[in-house]
Amino acid sequence: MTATATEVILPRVEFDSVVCKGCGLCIEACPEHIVEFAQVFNHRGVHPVQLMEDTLAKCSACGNCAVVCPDGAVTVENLRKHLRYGKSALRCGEMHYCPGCDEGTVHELLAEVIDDLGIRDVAVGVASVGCTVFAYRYIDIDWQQAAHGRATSVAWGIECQHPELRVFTLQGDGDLAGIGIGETFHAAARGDPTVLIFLNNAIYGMTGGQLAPTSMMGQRTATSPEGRNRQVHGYPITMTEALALQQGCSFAVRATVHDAPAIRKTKKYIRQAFLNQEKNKSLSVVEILSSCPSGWKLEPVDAHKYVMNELVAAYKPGIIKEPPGGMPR
Amino acid sequence: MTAVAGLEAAKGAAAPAEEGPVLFKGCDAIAEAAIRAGMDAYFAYPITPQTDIPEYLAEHLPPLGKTFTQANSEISAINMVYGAAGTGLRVMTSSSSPGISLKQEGISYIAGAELPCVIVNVMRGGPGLGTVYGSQEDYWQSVKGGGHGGYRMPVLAPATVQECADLTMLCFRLADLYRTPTLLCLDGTLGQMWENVTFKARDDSGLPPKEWATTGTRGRRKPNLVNSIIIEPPELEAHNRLHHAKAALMERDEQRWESYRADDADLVIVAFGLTGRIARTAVEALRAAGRKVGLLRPISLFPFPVNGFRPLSKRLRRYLVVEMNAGQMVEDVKRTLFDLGCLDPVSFYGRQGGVIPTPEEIAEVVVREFAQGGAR
Repeated sequence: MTATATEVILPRVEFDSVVCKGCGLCIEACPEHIVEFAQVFNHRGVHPVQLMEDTLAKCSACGNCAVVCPDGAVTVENLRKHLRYGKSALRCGEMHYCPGCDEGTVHELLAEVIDDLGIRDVAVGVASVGCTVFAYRYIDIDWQQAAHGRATSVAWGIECQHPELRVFTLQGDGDLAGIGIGETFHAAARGDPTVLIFLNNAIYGMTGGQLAPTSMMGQRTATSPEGRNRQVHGYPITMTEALALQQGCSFAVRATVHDAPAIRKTKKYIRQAFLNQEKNKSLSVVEILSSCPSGWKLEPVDAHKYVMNELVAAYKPGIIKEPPGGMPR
Repeated sequence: MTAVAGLEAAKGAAAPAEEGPVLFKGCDAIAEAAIRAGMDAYFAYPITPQTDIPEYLAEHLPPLGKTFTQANSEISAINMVYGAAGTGLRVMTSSSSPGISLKQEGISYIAGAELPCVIVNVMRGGPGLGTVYGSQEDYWQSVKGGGHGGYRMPVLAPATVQECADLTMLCFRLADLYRTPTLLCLDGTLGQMWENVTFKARDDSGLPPKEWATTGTRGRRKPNLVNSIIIEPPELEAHNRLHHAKAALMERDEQRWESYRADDADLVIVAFGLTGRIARTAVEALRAAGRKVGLLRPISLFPFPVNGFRPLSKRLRRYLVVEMNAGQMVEDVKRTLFDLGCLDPVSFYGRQGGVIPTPEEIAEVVVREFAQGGAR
């Protein structure tokens, strides 16, 4: 008998049942519907995910389950094409974020971009108060932790005499658009060569779900129980558009991470922001519409639907300001 | 002379080890001394009566390739200090009382993250917007931890333009030595005074390397972290114990004061900064009139110069604390004497709201003190 048929090379798929927080985003993301919750509990008290029995042959190794996992608990290797999806080498530590929180996904994208661009040795992150304050635990580079709202000022302090450093901030909406709006705005006015990663989940996450400057009209929060209304709370701020109007801001984009294609696109934007930082030496802003399942009181999968249906309607994703000479490649 | 001399000093070229005397304004002397101390970056926001410092540095710092940034707010400025100090640079900010209040959150973070930097407070009268005239109403804020969290840091109070220059350089040194923010605290009047000043050579002997700085890992070590969040109570307690152990070291090694004819005095005036200098004139006049009066002028407000009081506490005498406030340092004087087992009477005389006491006025108070008995 001669071996005429193409040899079947199965992918390698691994779910880390210890790291898994049972958010179920990977189950939703799998186009073959072959991921499920296990019957057992892990030490967190949740059902970790697993591949359904005898389904590996159905797996197309698209990597979506790994891409959407905020905690880096999934690894997919396409052994035929030599592709690997999963936790980046720069990622470290188990994350404190709630199950299904998009912050972990953004950490992964940042780590991947920093690694891809080969700027690990000169990257310095600034994480300010809010859920992102422990970011230093998760990406293996130099970090400074900043006071609430002051990340962009700290970033300018870091880079003013160190043009070789690639400085970025990781800020939430309360931090960047609330208490720190002055600092943020003036970073754009000065044209600081900082990359702003702006996680907009329209709520105060760390303090348990209060009204944010970016909370949408009608949005119910712990401090707007009847929903946001103009008389009591005023209007939400469209921060990225405002920053894009400033001359010192050369690149502004709004993205989402609610599914695998969106995450892949956002990674491209983050990469472009770092390229723009190098090329134009001025402010780059990447706003990422993110879910806050705990603050919104929604299941992680439903929280992503909320991003798609509500947040995207209020904050239109896409490129808001292209850098002079077009998008960096 | 200043720009060129500053340039040479910063470049470490054939700059003279010492230069002067030259006529300088207090604020300008602070700025020039900061350049000579090798300051890499300066961030501030305009406020009277310290604006001469940013104006001087706006002119003289950028030509040296150093950073001058007029920040959008005091809060922003102190956080730029945090970021820059975190990369191991020599950094300074300056302001006047209301502006220092705005910076307090940032100063607390800097203390928590153990970052060396220099903060200058050219004090004006308060509370609130108060007045632009000089005062000493920020003593408590300066030495008792103006921000949250009960931190300590060196606080130095010059009385002359010469000391403005000398203590600025010392602030940079202490900052690097103890990895701490340091505060130079003077009243607005001194900031505006012109006097001859001799700029001393920079002393970096024995300063530790800044291995903790976040300047990128560059493949040679583990990542560095500049941070003030320590969530676990036992860990934060251990961190704070180290902080206060450092403060205890300062109390042992960094007390500074001027004692003038105090040894045989029946009455010792205790006054800091400009008030100390005015009191010295009063002491000279009173001595000429045959009164046994002396002066103890704290130069370091933290650590408080307990050792200056130690020899005085051996026998009974009176103390008169003079301040340009309603009585703040007087509490530390009373506490210090009590700790030394000394129950001598302590009186207080103060002017407020930017009013400066005259030597005659202080002398009159002293004479009245003598008349009331206790001191001969």
